[in-house]
Amino acid sequence: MPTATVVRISSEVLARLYGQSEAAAWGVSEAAFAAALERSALKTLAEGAKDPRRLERFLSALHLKDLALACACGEGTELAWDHFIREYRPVLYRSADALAPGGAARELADSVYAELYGLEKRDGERRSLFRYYHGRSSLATWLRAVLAQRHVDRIRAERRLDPIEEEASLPAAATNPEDDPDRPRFLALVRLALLRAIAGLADRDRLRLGCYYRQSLTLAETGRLLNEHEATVSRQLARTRKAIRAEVERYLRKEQGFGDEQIARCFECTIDDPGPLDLEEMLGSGPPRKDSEPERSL
Amino acid sequence: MGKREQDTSMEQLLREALAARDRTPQSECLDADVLAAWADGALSGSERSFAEAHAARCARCQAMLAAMARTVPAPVATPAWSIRKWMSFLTPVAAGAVALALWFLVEPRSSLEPSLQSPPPSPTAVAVVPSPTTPPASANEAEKQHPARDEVKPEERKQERGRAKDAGAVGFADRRDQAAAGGVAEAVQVAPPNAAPASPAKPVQSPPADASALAKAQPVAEPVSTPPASPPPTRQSAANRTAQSPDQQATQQMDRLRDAAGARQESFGRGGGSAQQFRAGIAMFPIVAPGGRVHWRVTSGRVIENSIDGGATWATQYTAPENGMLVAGAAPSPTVAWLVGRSGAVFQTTDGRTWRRVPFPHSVDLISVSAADAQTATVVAADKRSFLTNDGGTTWIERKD
Repeated sequence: MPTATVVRISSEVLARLYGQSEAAAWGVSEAAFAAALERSALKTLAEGAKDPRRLERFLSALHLKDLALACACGEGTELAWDHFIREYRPVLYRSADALAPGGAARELADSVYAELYGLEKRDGERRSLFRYYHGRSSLATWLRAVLAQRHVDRIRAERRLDPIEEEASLPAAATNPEDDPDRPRFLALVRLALLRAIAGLADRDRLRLGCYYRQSLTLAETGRLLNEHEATVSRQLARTRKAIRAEVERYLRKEQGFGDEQIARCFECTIDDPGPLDLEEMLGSGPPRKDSEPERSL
Repeated sequence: MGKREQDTSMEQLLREALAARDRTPQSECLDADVLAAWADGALSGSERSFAEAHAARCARCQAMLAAMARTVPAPVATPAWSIRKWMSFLTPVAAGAVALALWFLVEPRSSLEPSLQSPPPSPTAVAVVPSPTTPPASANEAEKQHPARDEVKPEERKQERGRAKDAGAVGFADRRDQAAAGGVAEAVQVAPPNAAPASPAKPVQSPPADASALAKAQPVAEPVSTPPASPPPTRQSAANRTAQSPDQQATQQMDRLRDAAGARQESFGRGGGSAQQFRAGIAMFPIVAPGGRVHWRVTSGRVIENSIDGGATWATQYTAPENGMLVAGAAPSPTVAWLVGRSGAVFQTTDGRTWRRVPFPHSVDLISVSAADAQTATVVAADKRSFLTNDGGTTWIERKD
């Protein structure tokens, strides 16, 4: 039976971190703060927490003041809550407004707020969401992450209840044979080739592609997520598009035995009207998106 | 197939292609702690790789990351502009000014003389700043302390003047000669290195005959022993200046010398503006290009003005979108200048006339810049990180040193 990893924080380190965190000002005891530090180390380092130097390095890099505040709020300290409400509720609301400008996410922010307070009780004990804040990021960023999580989950839950309309618009069903009898087949083949090409992408390329095309983030937002300059994002997207197009062509040529004319017709089927997702650029056949849609570049 | 159907089919195509990760079990999804650490750049290399690999195939996590990206708060500049932060870089500036003043007071006179004979020093030469707090000495005392001045024979003086003219220091040499002939110390223009300025004895040196002479003389003489004339606090014509009393001129010159010392520091990346200016949010700071003729200054933190005559006249070149946006600058050459400011604002001119905004990947407040040329510059953020570009701002690398 595996033994649980025990995190041992030396008393000197604990005293230093406790002092830096100013937890005493919120009435958080050293023992309670030590428990929070141990939870954080255990979650991130697991077995690595046994290495005292690594443990100290990790703990020293935490947002100690935020962690102390979270501990105090988790314990229900009134003073800490007053501070939290004053400083962080605007953060939650601003984030909610950014996610749903119409105010729909405000309700979500309020529900997060209730979770933070810990309305739910388990085994007679109030369970605050603060328990899951480990101090690796700032408290404000963590709140944004919690809100983003709830927002996405709610949307996904709502989607599951929607009728599946996509199936009705599959290429074969939507095609009028009188327009071009080969079009359904061409579309299906391009679709297959595209799937294969995207599946073969490196994780980072795929994530970049997803952020930009699927999540409709701007180049700058995508760059922030991937720690890349937006010019790099633009360049990498162009490279990926080129690679996808080459792979689709290769598939049609080698595996389907298509000639240049047929391949051209395949692309015509898909790119003569770019549509809302701008497939024309996706396949590298048109002008760069940055030029055609400058408003999305920044 | 109609256009509408095509659109739908293509959308379906991509959605399906990019949604394979939907099948990823949710138990592996990134939790809020990891998402937040990702956003704050706190993940280790291996954690980051793992998280990216997962997010690349997980629609839920990708959507959460996108939601996070959309909720990035607009940078709030106020906390970054605390007095303490500004003091952190004003302190070295003040220390530099004190060091210059000490050098000025302690350095033997002989060290000044060769500079008169040599060509103008390199643009990186440090401005000479007389200490404004030095107790004034009488003209006679000054003369006693500097007998060498009297020992200069008329022939030598002529030679010296000729050399100075060759070096482009006509106005300076002439005035110096006049003062020496009159037996009165020059309190400001040629304050001896180890002598206190003689305030009771007013500078008798008369203003140049015409405004253009002054405008020419000051910047030309600057590389020899005086710093470049910094932009005056208000737009003031040279003609008006000539009409002022010698006292006023001396005071203004002292102000300009102090400002110019700040400008020198500015040019080498130490931020700009006084603490009071920054506190007031009006941040007017000068930037002097090597050679001393070309100046830029930023008023109200947004209006970029240029002078090509050593600060005598100014013309507006560009207005940034927001007040208080620009806080520091550097001019590595008369045609190249960089300006930085709040929320990652970086502006650059490479022709001395037109300005462009240089993309900067972080929304941090930038507090100083040092630049070697149009391609290479280093900016320092309020959070003490520094970023280097070697390609004119196309890419920025965070410096780890």
